[in-house]
Amino acid sequence: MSFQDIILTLQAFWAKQGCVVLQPYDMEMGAGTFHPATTLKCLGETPWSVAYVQPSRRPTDGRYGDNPNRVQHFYQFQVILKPSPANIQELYLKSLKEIGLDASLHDIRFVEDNWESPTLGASGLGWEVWCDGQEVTQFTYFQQMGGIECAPVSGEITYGLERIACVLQGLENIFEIKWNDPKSPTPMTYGDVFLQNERESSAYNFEHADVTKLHRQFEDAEEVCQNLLAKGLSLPAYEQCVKASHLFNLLDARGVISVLERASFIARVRALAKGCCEVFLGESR
Amino acid sequence: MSELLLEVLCEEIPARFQKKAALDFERLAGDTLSKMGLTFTACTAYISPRRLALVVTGLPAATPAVTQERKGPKVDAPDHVIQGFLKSVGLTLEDCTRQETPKGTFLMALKEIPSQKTQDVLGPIFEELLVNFPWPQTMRWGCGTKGWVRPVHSLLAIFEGAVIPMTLRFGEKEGAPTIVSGNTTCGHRFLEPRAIKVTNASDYLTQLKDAYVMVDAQARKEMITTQLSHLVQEKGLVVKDDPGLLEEVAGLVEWPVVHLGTIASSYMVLPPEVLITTMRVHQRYFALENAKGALAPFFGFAANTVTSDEGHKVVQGNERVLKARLSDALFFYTQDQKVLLEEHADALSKITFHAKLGTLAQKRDRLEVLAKKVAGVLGFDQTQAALAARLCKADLVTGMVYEFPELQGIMGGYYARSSGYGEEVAAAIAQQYQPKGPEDALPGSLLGLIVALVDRLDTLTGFCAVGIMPTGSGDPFALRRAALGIIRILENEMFKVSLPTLLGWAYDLYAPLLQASGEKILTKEATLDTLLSFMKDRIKVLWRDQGIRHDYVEALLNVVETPLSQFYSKLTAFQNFVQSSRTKAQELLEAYRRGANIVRIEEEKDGRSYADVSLQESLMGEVAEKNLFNALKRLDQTLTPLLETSRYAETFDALLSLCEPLDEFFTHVTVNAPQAEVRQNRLALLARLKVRLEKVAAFSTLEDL
Repeated sequence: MSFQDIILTLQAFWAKQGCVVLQPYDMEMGAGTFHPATTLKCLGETPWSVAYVQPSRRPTDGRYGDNPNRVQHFYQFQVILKPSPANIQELYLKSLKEIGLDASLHDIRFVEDNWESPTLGASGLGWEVWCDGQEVTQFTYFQQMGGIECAPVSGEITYGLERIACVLQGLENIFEIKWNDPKSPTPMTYGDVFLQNERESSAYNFEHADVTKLHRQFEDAEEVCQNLLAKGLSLPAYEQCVKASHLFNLLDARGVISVLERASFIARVRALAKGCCEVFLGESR
Repeated sequence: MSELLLEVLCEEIPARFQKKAALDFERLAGDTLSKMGLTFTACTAYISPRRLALVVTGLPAATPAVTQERKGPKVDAPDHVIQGFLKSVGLTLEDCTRQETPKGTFLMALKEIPSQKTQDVLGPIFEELLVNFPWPQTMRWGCGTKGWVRPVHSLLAIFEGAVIPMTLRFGEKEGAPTIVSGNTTCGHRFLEPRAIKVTNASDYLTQLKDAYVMVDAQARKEMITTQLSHLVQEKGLVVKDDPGLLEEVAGLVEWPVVHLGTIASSYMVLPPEVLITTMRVHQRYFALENAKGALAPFFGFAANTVTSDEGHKVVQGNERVLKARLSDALFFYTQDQKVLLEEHADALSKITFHAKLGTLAQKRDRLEVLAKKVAGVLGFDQTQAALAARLCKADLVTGMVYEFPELQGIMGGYYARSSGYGEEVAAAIAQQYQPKGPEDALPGSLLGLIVALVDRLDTLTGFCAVGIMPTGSGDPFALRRAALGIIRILENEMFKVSLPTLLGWAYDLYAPLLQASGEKILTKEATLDTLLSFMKDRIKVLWRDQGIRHDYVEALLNVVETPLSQFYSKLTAFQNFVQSSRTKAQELLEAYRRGANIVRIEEEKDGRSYADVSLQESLMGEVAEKNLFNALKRLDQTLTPLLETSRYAETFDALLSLCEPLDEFFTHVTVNAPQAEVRQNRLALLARLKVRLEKVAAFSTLEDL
C-alpha cells in the first residue's frame, strides 16, 4: 500500500465511524495534538470526533536527510474520539487491518507509555502501540489539557505514518517509501518529495535560523497572544501560542537555550496554552 | 465448601504494576473475607496484561452469626449522651447490658449480626474492593469520573457455578462506564477473541489456555525461559541472566512466543553496555552470551502471538527496529570520539548543575581541586586524581549520553580510554556513580573511590548550603544515597581524613560562587552542622542493623576529628572495653557525670568557666586531690601517643586508671571549700577531668552502659 493510500484508507475508515475529516492546520506545529481540533476541542462536554493528517515539525530531529529514520518534517494521522468509546481499541485494530497491517502476520502490542506535553500543560495515560517491536502509534486517554481536567475523556490515536509505511512496504529507509502507485507514469518516493526539503530545512534549523529575530518573534507572538486573550479571542490567540511553541523549538535546535532557560521558555508557552484553553472554554459555553 | 472465581478483563495493564497488583488482590481479598468471618483454604490471584483474576477455594456457605459489642457511656452520664448512644446502636435502654469497670459502670450494647448466605455478601464486598483497587496510577475514560488502571471491559464473577450479580460503576454521572458481571470472558486478542463461557476456576484456566491466554504470570515466565533456552542452546549460547526483564516481558504478553533475531556484525563494535541498554531498555530484548561470556550477535524476544509465517515477518521487523536504533547509536559513538574527552569537558559550561549551584563546568573545576586535596591526604598521585575528576562529567555532553542517560560514566570510561588517558583514569570515570545502592559494589580502585567521593561531597555540600535537604519522603536529588556512598567510601582504612575537614573543603570551593550569586545561603558553620548531624543519622541507620548502640555512635562521632575509617575501629574497641570492664566503665561514667554536673552548676552560679584556669598544686591540701591531679597528668602523657597512633583499646583501658583516684576524691574532698582559691582550684581540676574524658568520647551522650 502506498503512502497516500494509507492516508486515504484511514480517512475513509474514520469517516465511516462518523468522524469529521479535517485537513492539516496551516501552521508549523510539533505534533497533531497542537491542532486546535485536538487541543481546544477536547475541552468541555460537547462530543467531538475528528480525523486529520498533520505535518509535524521537530527541528532538532533533522539529520540533513542522512539518517534513514529521522526527519525534521513528518506526518501524523490524528484521531480524536470524545468521549472515548468502549470499543476504541477495537476500532483502531480494525483500521490497521484496513491498511493491511495484519495481526496474523505481525506482533501488535500495547506497551505502557504515558504522554505528557509540558508546553501544553497536558497529560494522558495509554500506550505506544508496537508492531514487531516498532512503535507505530501513540494511543492516549487525555486526562488534562492546558491544566484543565478533561471530562469527558477524549481518546487520541496518533499514527506514525512513515513508520507504518516502512512496516507495510518492508523498508529500512523512510526516503524509499513509495508515495504513490509505483506503476503510475510518475512514481514518486518519499525521498523524491522530501529529501531536498530535509537537507535545506536541517541547514536552516541548525545553522541559519536567525537567533535574534527568532527571539523577537517569540516575544511578539507571546505579546499578541496575551492581547488577544484579553479580548476573549481564544482561537487567534491559540495560533500565536502555536507559533511561539514552534519558535521555541527552532531556538532549541540552534542550541542557544540553556537548561535553565529551557524550563522558563516551556513555562511561558504553557502559560499561553493555559490561557487559550481557559478563554476557549469560557467563550464556547 | 465452595469456590469463588473473579476476573476483570481490561485494556493492557502496565507491566510494572502487575506483580504488586496480584499480591494486593490476594491480601485485600483475604483480609476482607476474614473480616466477614468467611474462612477459606486458598486465595490465589492471577494477572496478565488484560486480566486480573482471583480464585478463592473452601469458602463456607454462610457467614457465622456474630455478636458485636459496643461500649457506651457511663450509666450516670447525662441523658442526652445516653439517648445519643441508644440511637446510634438502635437499641432501647433495656436492651443494653451493664459492665462494671474500675472506672465505673458502663452501658454495653450487644448486637446480633445474623448469618448471611456467602453468595449474598460476596457481591457488595468485591464491588467495593475492585472499584477502589489500589493501583499506583489510575485514569478516567469515556464519561467516567472514577479511574482504574486502564478501561475495564467485563467482569466474570462466579460462586458455586452461578453468577454473582455485581456492578462496577466508574463514576456517578450518566453515561459513566458501568460493568455488569456475567459468566463469560474472552480469549487472546488476536488468536482467539471469541467469548468463553466459564463454570468454575479449573474450567476457566483450561479454557483460557486453549484460547492462547496463560493467565498465571509464573507460568508465562517459565514458558519464556524454556523456549528461550531451547533456542539459544541450538546456537551454543546462554541467556544473560536478567530477572527484572523476564518479569517485565511476562507482563507484556498473554501467550509468549519466543524468537531469536540477529544483530549485524558491524554493530558489534559498540560497547556491550550500549548494545544491552538498547536491547533491554528500549526493546525489552534478552541479551545473549557465548561460552566465553562475551555478547553474542543475537537477541531473544517474546512476541505475543503465533503468526501464520512462523514469525518470519515478526523477526524481520524486530531486527529492523534494532538496526535503526543501533545505527543511531553507532553514529553518536563515532561522532563523540572525533573529539577528545577533554574538549567535551569544555562544553560543560552550557549545562546547569542546579539553578542555584551553577554549571557543570563549575562543578568540574571544584571536583578537580577537591580530588587533588583528598589525594594529597591519601598520599595518592595528585595529578592523576585531578585529571580523573576534571574529566569525569565530560560524557554528559556527548551524543551517546544524551540518547542513553543511563550510560553516564560508562561512556566516559570508553571515551577516556579512546582519548588515551589510560586504564586507571578510564576505570575511575566509569565507576564514579558506584555504589548506586546498598547492595552495589564500591569503585574498584583508590582513584575510583576518590572521584566517587568528591562528586558526592560536592553535591551534598552544595545542596545543603542553599537549603535543600531531604525531607520526610522527598529526596529528589538522592542526597541520602550520596551520603551513604560517602560513608561507605570513608569506612575504607586509607581515608585518614575527617568528615568535617572534607565537607569544609567542599564548602570553601563553593563559597565564591554562592556569594556572587546573591542567593540566601547557609554559613560554613551552619552547613557543616546540618551535614554532620545528617551524616550521623545516616551512619546510625547504617550501623543499627549491625547491632551497634546509637548512643555509642553518638558519643564517639561527636569527637569531630575522628576519620570515619578510624571510627569503626574505635567503636569496636569501645564495645570490647564496655564488655570486658562493664562495672569499672560504668563507675567511670558516673564519676564523670558527677564531676561534670558540679562544674556546670558552679560555673552557672559564678558566671564563669573553669576550663582554662591553671591548676596550682600548692593549693591542693587533700591527698585524694593530689592523687587525682597526678593521675590526670599521667593519663595525659599516656593518651597523647595512644590517640595519635589510633590505639583505641589501650586508650579506653588507660581511662580506668582514673577510677580509684576519682572514687577517693569524691569520698574525701569537699569541692565547695570555704576558701575561694581552694574551691576554684578544685573546680578547675574537675573541669580538666571533663575536658580530658570528652577528648576521648562524648561521655555526656552515653546512656548507662
